[in-house]
Order: sequence, then C-alpha cells, then structure tokens
Amino acid sequence: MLKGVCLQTQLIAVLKIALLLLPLCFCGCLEDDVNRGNEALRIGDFERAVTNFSKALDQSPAHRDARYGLALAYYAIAEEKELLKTSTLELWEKTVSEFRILSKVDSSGKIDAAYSTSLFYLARATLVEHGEANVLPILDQSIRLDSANYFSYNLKALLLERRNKVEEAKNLYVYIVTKEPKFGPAYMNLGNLYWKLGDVESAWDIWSMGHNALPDEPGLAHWTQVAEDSLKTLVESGSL
Amino acid sequence: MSFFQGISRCETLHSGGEAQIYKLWNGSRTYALKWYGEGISVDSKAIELLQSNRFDGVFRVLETGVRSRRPYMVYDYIEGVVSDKLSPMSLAVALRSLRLVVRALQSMSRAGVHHGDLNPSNIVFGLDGRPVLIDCGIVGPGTLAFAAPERIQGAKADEKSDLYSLGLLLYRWIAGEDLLKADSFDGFAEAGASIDSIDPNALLFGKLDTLSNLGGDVSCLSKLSPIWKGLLRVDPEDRVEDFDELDELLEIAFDGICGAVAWENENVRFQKIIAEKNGTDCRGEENFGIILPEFAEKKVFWTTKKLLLLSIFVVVLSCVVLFLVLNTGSSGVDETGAQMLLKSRAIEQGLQTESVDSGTASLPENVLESLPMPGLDSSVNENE
Repeated sequence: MLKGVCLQTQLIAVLKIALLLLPLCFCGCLEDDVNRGNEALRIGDFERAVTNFSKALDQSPAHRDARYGLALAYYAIAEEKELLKTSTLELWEKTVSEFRILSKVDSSGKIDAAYSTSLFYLARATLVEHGEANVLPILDQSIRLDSANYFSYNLKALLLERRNKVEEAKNLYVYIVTKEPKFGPAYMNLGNLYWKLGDVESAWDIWSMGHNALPDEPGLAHWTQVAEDSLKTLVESGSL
Repeated sequence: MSFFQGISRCETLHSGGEAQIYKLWNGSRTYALKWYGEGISVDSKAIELLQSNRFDGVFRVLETGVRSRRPYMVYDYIEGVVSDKLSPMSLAVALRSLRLVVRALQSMSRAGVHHGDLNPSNIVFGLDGRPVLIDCGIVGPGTLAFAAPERIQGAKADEKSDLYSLGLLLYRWIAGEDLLKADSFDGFAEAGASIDSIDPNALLFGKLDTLSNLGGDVSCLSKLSPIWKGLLRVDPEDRVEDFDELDELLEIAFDGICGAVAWENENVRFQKIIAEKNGTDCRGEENFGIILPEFAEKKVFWTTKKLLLLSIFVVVLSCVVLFLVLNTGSSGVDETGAQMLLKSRAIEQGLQTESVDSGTASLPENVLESLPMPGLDSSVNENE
C-alpha cells in the first residue's frame, strides 16, 4: 500500500513536471519563429523576417523580441528604399507604428535609440511628401527618446530656421557641435545660416572650425575656402 | 516517502538471538517492526504476495528491506498476546483456534505461499480471541522444535511440512510445553525422526492435574488421537492429505469435546485472559524511544539523497530555461538592432554631408529651396 502511495506521489510529480514543460515546448516553437526572423534580418532577407516575426506575434502579440524584430525588419526595408530615393513615408509609418506598440511592452529603454531614429526618418519622409507639414512634434519625441540623436536636432534646427526662429536654430547647431564635434552637417548648416544673414566672418569661423574637426570633409573645406576668399574680397573692397 | 519518516515513537517488544521486535507509532497507528539477525533471509516471492494480497488471519506486510545487512519486515501491529504466553489453553480453544489457523494457511497455500515456521511465537491472539499468523516467508527450517523432519533435512516448506508443525503447535497449546525437546540441531533431527513412536495423548494424560484446571473436558483427550496420527508422522505421505482433511478432523474433535454453549463460555473466558495479558509484552518505559538509529540514519540519508537529486534536477531545468532565454531571447534581436542602428546612423551622416555637397542638404527640395545653401552659387554670389 505504501509502495502504491509512493508510486502515486511520484506519478503526480512527473505529471507536474510535464505540465511545467508543456509551456516551455510552446515557448520553444515561438522562439523558433523569432530566431528564424532574426536570422533572416541579419542576412538581409527582410521580407522573410517580417513573415517570421509576424507569425510569432500571431501566437503572442506581446512578445517583445518578435515585436522588436518586426519593427527592425520594417526599418530595414524602409531604409533600403531611402537609398533608392523612392517614397518611404508609408514604410516609416509602419515602422514607427511597430515601435509605438513595442514601447508598451518594453520600457527598458533598449529600443529608444532605434525608435528615435525611426521618428527622424518619418519626419523627413513626411517633409519630402508634404513640405509644409509640421513635423516638429515628431522630432521632439525623437529627441526625448534619444538625446544623442543629432540628426533630429539638425532637422529641427533647419525647420526652426525656416520659421525664422534663427536664434533657436543657432543654439541647436551650437549644441550639436558642442556635444558631437564630428557632426559635419551642423557646421555646414550653421555656417550657412550666418552666410544667409550676411555674416561672412561668422560663417567662415564655423566652416573653418568644421574643416579642422573634419579635414576629410570636402564640403567644409570648399566652403571654408569660399568664405575666406569672400572675406579677402570684402577687406580689399573696404566693406569689412 | 520512506515508511520510517512518519515514526514518532518506538518500543522494544522482544529482543532475541534470531530477531528483535519493535512496536512503532505513526500518529495514532501502530506497527510492528521485526528485524532479523544477520544471515537470515526471507522468501521475496512470499513477501511480495503477502504485501499485495490480503489473507484472513494472516498479518499484513507493509514494508520489507535490509538494514545493516539484516532483513526487516514491517507489519500491522496486532493488539493481543502471542500464543506461547497463553498456553496451556483449553482443548476447545486450542482446537477452535487451530481450525482458524488452518483456514488462514489454506488461503495462503492456494496463492502458493507456505508459512514454513509455524510455532507459538508466530501466532498472535487478538483481543477478539482470533489467531493471526505472523512472520511468514522465512527461508530455512524455521524453529527446530516445530520443524518437520524433511525441513530439518533442507526441504522447502510445503503444505505437508506445515501440517506437521501444526501437530506440534496443537500439543504445545494444550500441554503448555513443547513435545520435542533437544539442545542441538542434531537432537531435534533425532527427536523428529522418532516422532512416529511418540504418543502425545499418553503424555497429556500424564498432565491431567494441570489440564483439568483449564475448563476443558480432559476425558475427551482420546478424540485427539486421529489428529496426532494424521499430523505427527515422519513420512509426509503418512500425514493427512491436506488442510481440508485436517479441518475435518479438527471439527470432529471439537464437536466431540465441546457443545455450542460450552464454547461460548470458553471463548469469553479466553478473551478475558487475553485482555489481562495484553500489554505485558512491554519491558517498561526504558524501552521507549525514537526510531532505531539504523533506520533513522537511512531515512536522513535517503531524504538528503532525494533533496540532492531534486536540486540537481532544478538546476538542470533552470539552466535549460536560462539557455532558451539567453540563446533565443532578446540578446539576438537586440544585437541585430544595435548593429542596424550603428550602420544606419553612419549612412545617414554620410547622406547628409553628401547632400550638403550637392546643395540639397537633408531636407526635401521644397524645404531647401527656401533656404540659402552654400551649394547654391547664386546665393553666394548675392552675398558677395
């Protein structure tokens, strides 16, 4: 009888273990899809990545890795289209949509940089198709997510400049080059801003500073020289 | 779970050369532990049958095993008195009790189990006056004073050898002493070989003074003759055919000795004796204690072993889960995402620089058109 009781206890224990292992098997299948998606993503098979991550999400919509993988797959597809100079607005909208959902299941901050960059791309793609669209809220969100995303700062400064908020734009450019002295476009755009205002001396200051920071950047070298020549002309003409 | 894990108390009932017997408490339930001496072995097949089957009048074996190279057996503790402490008993009680023992042996025999060591110590009378057989399945001749000649010569226990032992048991119950007495193995072998020449009735008549005080009708001793002749024979073939035949002989003898009313009186009287003697097996409070170290140590060891195995299992399972999580989880996608971002931002910086070069900056054309860019010669010229 005692042996029988022991056997029964052991049987119950085995059943409990089996019940514990069952969800693990389920998780295993799910993880297989995520793994396949990630592998496809790594080798550039983005459509297959979308398929696999979507399959995993069908089973578990809140699966963090599957959602992140899907967002990255859309990101990669959209970025490829960027290189082809074709319309990418719809793709960036999908990408940002996935990141928005993802942000609800992952608040660790690990995804913020990629989400921020997606928002920058979305803002830029929106401007390409709708030149007068107000994308500043998108850029602000992008900056909030990643304060080191200087692309968003740079685009925001350009837009502020366009709205004649010159001082704000200047401050942003200065902020960028202070934080990231190798960010060439900020030197270029700030110098350009001064040039536009007729302040050739300040323009030369900025471009030459950029040229010193990035000596291999041909644009900065060129415009430093142009500004220098202009300054010489102005001095010679007595205007300066 | 080991049987001994739940034991809270232990009492020594008997401690002899062949075995020690302990009474065990598990909550309100009591069990008996018989721990044999070294060298004694049990018939595993018989024990298995006793564990898996329930026979009326036979003890219920709960667990068997070996501790310190000595076999042990745990069975339900029977509240009552061992039969050797109740002899001599009246003829009626002896005959009636033997019939019950025969029936128990009969049911065991049908399942292929023979007792092999029938003696007064292996029969316990419960408080209801009914005998219960204990201690079956011992390999060897058993108690020599009750062993059949062929058993002493090494034969296995069978129905015939049990029948022989029953004859000696009946004599012991009635006479209060063993029929065969010797000091050695050879002595018992010799005594057993000459059993045919012994007339138990003659010996019993010599004890009339003692027997007449037992309440039975000693004048009826002659009715036992067919039983002695049918059991106490050297040659198994000369003994009764089987338990059925013995039962008939016992019935005839019983009916010839005792009527129904007389039996009721005898039975009540016998139960009173059992009640009086019940509990006298105890050797005193000093024999109480916790479970024997040999059994307790094994329990701890086994518990530790189980815990160790369980721990190993949990660790292995945790490793598998951790491997699944780490190998297939966030790190893979996170790593891919980090690489993509790195590549992406590098590309984007280049694009913006190139765009400035080409005079388009990073803004769409319609945005850039309104902004003076270094790439536009006209704007430069205008400023100049």
